[in-house]
Amino acid sequence: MIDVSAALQNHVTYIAGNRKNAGKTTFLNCALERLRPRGHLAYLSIGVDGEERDLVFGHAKPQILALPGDTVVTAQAALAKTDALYEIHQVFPYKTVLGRLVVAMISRGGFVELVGPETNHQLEAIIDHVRGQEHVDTVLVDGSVNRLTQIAATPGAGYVYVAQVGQRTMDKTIAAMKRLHLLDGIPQWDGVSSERGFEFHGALTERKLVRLPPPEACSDILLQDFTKVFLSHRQIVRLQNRYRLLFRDRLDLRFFVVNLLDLDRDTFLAQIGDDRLEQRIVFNPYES
Amino acid sequence: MKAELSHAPTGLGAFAELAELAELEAFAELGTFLNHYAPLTPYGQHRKQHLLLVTSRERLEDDYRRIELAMGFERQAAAAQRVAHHLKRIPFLDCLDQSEWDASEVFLIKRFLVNYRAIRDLLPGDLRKALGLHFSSTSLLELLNAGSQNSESFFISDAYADGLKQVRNRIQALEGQAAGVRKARLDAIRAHCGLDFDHQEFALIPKWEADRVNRELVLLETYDASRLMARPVFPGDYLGLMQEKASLVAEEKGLEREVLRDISRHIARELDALAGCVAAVTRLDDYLARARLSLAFQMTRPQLQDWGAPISVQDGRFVPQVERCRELDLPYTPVNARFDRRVTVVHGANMGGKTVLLKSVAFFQALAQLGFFVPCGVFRTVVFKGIHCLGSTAHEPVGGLSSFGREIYGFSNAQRDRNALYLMDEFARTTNSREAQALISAVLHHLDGRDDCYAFLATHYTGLPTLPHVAYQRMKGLDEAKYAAYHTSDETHDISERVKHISRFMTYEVEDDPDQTTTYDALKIARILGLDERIIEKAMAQLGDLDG
Repeated sequence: MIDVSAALQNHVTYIAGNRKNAGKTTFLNCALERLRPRGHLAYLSIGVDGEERDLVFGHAKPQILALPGDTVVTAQAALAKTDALYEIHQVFPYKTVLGRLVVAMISRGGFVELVGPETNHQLEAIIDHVRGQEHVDTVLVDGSVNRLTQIAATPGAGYVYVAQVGQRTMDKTIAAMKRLHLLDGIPQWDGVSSERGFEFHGALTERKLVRLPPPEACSDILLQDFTKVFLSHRQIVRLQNRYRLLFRDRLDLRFFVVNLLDLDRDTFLAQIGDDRLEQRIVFNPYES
Repeated sequence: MKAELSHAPTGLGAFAELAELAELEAFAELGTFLNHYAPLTPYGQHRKQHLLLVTSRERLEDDYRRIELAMGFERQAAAAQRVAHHLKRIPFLDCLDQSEWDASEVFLIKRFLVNYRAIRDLLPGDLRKALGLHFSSTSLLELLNAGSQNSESFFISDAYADGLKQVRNRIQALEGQAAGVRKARLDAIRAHCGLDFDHQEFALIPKWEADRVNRELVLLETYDASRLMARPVFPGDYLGLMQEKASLVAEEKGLEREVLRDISRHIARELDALAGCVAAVTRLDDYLARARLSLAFQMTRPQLQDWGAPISVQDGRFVPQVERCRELDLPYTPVNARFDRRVTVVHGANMGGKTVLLKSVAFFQALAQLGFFVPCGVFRTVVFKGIHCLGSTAHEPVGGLSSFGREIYGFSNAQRDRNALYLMDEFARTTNSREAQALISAVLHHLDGRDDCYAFLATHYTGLPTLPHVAYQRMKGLDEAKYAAYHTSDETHDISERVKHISRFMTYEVEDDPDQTTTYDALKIARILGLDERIIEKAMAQLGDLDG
């Protein structure tokens, strides 16, 4: 049984989703509710989140309820229309379509639209500020759909993978989860150079596999982090049969959140067929 | 671990705006060194990216005086650290060209003023006066601190408007009432339906549980084929309280906008003063950064002289070369040279340090005219209107010109400048030796006849004309005695070790050489580098024949 609060407390955690409306923002609200009793926390988004209606599909979206003591990062125009009261602690020079990005401490609760930075560099600077200057250790980032590369902007960060799974998407989603679980098992390099080691810079794609030295000449392959691996589950397994893979930076998979739609839990678990992966799953926290 | 790709460090890049400055930056290797020049504010960092040569002696002396003052302050470590702390907190105000400011912009202006005033208060009177750090925005800052505000944060406090305080009190009271109604309803739902909404806005329940749910208390919607989404239904008085709160929040927003308009009127009146503060803090940040650089590299004030005076260097350190020597574990020989005439021709062996000497002069002169101190015991020089580096620079050929064509084109253009410095590294080295020598001789005649320029030429050629304003100097080159000891040994070394040996046997000093002594160090170096001994001997014999 995963203790969601303990897994997220004192960490920077990105919330990634397998598709639009997978339940990322709903999970963020749930996590905030559980984390608040444990101390000061901050949250932000990549792009726009928390608006009343989905900007792409137009249907109702969960809003983000900010409560007194929370630290939020969003654009000035989003703050101007919130019913929350807030104190501005920092304004970044980065501008979004909704104005400058602002760090604000909430003094009266209300609903807030989160508007986030547009580049990894900005994201890194903002999280550095929140941790270093605002002294907030628990940070949640409502991430993008199917893009995990932003996680690498924050050394030591981790992520929660929120997946909405239906009959038609089950196989594809399970494959994605198995791949992430496999990548999460790759250990961090201990910093000791090896004569039979090879560091691969940049993104490792199928096309670039030929650049790896033969196993007779090399036993360890050092990669930057899991976001630089663009190989399928099968390709990674095949690679692991030839080399020991290592990451320079570990970016932990905290757990999976699975929201089943028209699918029962037993069918889903039977399809997974992996006890260790099962233990990393939190099913929809709103199920009674 | 081996690396698949290697990434070379990049230089400053944007240092020079003009093509000739780009040549100077590349030749003098300024980019890497100026990475150590680190202003702390966005204003200082912007200024760093737009450095230009200063051609006014008066302006440079002003710069140097201010650096001296700043160095005096930087030596007081505790106070300097406190000022640095505030400089790092100075924000960039890109919003001063408007007439109204939103809350985030007011925050930026407040943070700027708070830190500016703190800096001003920490500075000694002489430095404050020299850099013009005035502060006249006390009343604006007081306004921005209204209410119980933290000095470096901002919120639209109740203290800005009585109406605001009243509206917020009413909102607070409504929220208290609404919370009571909500709690009562959630308690009732828990009691009647067994559903807990204290910490969640909805719950998913199996469809077969629908019958146990009281539809007056809970709204059920289809979630999927087997489950329902349950949400609490709040009573009408709760919804009324929420609507009332929404209208009060709208009123509050209107009052906040009015407060911001009022603050904006105050800011608008202070725009000139704010612009003055921006200019002053830019100067301060810049000079303190120059002072820290000077202290870190034991730099001294350049001594500017009248036009025509000789240039001289004592204990000069061409920092990029010092760092290279350190990496290779080789000793560095500081530059000690006096150039009595306006035109100096330096010759000597390959790898003997001619180019490094020219680069050193370019480095010291560029720093001096960018308003920096120089890493020298003493550097006496004059102020040039332009500095032209011709010859082996790092830039690629342009416009289809060969390297020779580019040299000639560059020199022709540079001739238009008066009061210029020409640094010519192995000029015409890519053409045949007879023509090159003739060309250099003619250039020397031309420069000798001009009293509006200085020039340094590094060349292999000797036998150049003796002229009134042209001095000949040579790099001392290989130490014969040490070299002979090496040469008799049977040691074999890899190329990097051979290069180190050459450096160890070289005497990187410059000396007067009016007779343009001919040396054959190149053959000795070729031998050290491993050229077949039979070829060396043949070349020596050939030289003997030529010299008669």
